[in-house]
Amino acid sequence: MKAPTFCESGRRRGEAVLLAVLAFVVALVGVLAVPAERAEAMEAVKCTGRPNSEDDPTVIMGATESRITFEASIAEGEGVSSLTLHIPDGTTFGTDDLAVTLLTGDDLMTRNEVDYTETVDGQDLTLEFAEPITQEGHLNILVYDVFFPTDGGEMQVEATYELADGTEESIEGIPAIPVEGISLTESISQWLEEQPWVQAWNSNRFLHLFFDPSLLVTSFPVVLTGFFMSISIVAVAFPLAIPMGLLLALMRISKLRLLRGIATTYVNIVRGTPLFLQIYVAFFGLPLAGIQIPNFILGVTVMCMNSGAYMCEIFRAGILSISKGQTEAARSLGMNGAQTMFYVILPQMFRIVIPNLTSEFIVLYKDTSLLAAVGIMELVMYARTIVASTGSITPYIVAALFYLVITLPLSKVTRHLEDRVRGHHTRKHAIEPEPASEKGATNE
Amino acid sequence: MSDAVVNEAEKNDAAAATGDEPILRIVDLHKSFGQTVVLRGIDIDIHRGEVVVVLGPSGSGKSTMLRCLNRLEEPTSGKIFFEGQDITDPKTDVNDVRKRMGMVFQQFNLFPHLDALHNVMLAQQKVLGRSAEEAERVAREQLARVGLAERADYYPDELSGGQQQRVAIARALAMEPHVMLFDEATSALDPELVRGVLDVMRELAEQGMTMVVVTHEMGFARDVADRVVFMEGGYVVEEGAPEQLFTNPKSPRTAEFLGSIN
Repeated sequence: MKAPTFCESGRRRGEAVLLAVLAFVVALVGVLAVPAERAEAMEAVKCTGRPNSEDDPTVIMGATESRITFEASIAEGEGVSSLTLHIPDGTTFGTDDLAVTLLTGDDLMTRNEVDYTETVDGQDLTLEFAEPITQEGHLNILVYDVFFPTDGGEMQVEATYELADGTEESIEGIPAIPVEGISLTESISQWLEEQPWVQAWNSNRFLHLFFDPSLLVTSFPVVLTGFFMSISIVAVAFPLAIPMGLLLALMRISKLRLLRGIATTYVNIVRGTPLFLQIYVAFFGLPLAGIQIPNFILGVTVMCMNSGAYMCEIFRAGILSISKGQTEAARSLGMNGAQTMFYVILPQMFRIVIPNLTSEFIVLYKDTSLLAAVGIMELVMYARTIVASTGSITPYIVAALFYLVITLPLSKVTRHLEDRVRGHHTRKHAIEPEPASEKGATNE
Repeated sequence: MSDAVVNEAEKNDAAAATGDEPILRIVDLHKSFGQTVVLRGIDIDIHRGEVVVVLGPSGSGKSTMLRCLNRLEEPTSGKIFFEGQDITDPKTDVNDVRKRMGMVFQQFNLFPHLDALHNVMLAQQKVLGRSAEEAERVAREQLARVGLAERADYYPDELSGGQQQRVAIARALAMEPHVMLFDEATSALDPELVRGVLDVMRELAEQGMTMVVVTHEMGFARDVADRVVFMEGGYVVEEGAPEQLFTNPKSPRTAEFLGSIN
């Protein structure tokens, strides 16, 4: 690379001599050519960050302590008087442990102390050398206490240097440092791990095993994914189970023996066997029979069919709890059986069964955990993967919190609704005492 | 199909009215619940515009008899003719019969999920096929008739027992029935609320409604009834004009019952 450049400038000088009339131009070219030639006074050799990931020894992560190693070659006799490193924005660094070494010799094995003073101006770290460096070699700089930005990205370090004659040049071709971003929870977790109270907390074996604060934080986003899966299973299965339960309930109170028999048999089998077993039969039996159904759909179907049987009994009890007088009143007005059911009985029944339906929702939501056994990536399954890799039970505690976040408020709602069904609801109008003469007065 | 039946029935009515044919004719009505015999052969004729009050001690079968009239109870044997039609015939469309026969219950049986207005509107829309506007117009009219125009948007549990029963009467009247059946309509009411309901019933009688009234209200029977039927042990013991039955009962059982009441 040097040779052709010399040739070129040499040729240009030759041209300047031959073409005397252009002496002024040649002089101008010479002025311009000098910096181009001197740009090679320092050249980038390397610029790296120290890997700092616990999981992968080649990865540099953001918001985690690291170190920048910068090395540049110095050509002999150039006399570099100062060097300024521009650390990328968002990256913090320390100067206490700064190490500046000049490596010389054929194999660059000779380490020379460099006498310098450093100044920091924002992201610029400037090293003023006591004497301009004229020796050929590699200038090696280690910057410690480096924290790259949390989001990560390609970190480009820039460098400029000043020669003894006062010209300033920049070093081209510095390789960027690839930094992987870390999530907010990872950074919180890392911060937590360094806190003395967390370390004290974790020194208790029980607390460390079940309630490791940093693992609580890192498990959260992972288990959250499972939470969404569990919720979506329930969100599809529960609404579908309602019409199914209603149909079964109507069949069970039907006058037709066949319908009654079918519904009763179904309900008894489903309620009389563990859901776990039903899941196994569906997930292992159907594929063996050559029926391939995607896991999510099959999971939803099993949950829905199970819940439908329980809802059948809730609805049936609700229908039977409505006074016979309601049916008689409706029928005495000429309404047929179906009209009576749909306009008189069912609207009242739904009001009565809402607390029980809420309880059934809670049960169904908790029972989605059984789907972990057949590999559906729901709440418990995600928690289990972290438990397997960390050996801590804490992710299960996180999973428990995700269940409670739904079930506790719903239980409270259920209690409230039960009170309302018992007749403690607020009336829009108060009963007014009816004067005995009220109607009589209007008659007269 | 059902319209045709109605028209047919109405023609029969017209013919019956002129020929003084009873609107309701109960012939040898028997009813048993399992081994328990409740009605042992009841024969009563009820004429158009007549108010018949049925008296009798508890367990005499008077409510069961009334409930057989719109087949809320299936008669064990015997026949009931309503506007010339045998309603005990299995081929009879019982819903069609019921829409011409209003019933008021001891326990009111208002639909608790609907306000007074919609209690009165529901069957009009679903059974008679009236539009919402038409049903509402009729409902407000009938609520006004029972003195509850101001309570249209009240739910049953916001109304007193007497008001509920009057809404129930309005609900039955909105179907424009040819006969009204009252099954101990005031028995569940506090004494001070009874009068309002009885006044509505009295007014209804004055307007010429055919009524079969099972009650313990002797005053009402005496003042309003065209005829009083006294039942005991599943039989009709005695029937007659109220002044005759109250002042000079033929049967010692009737006398004893009236004596125990007064």
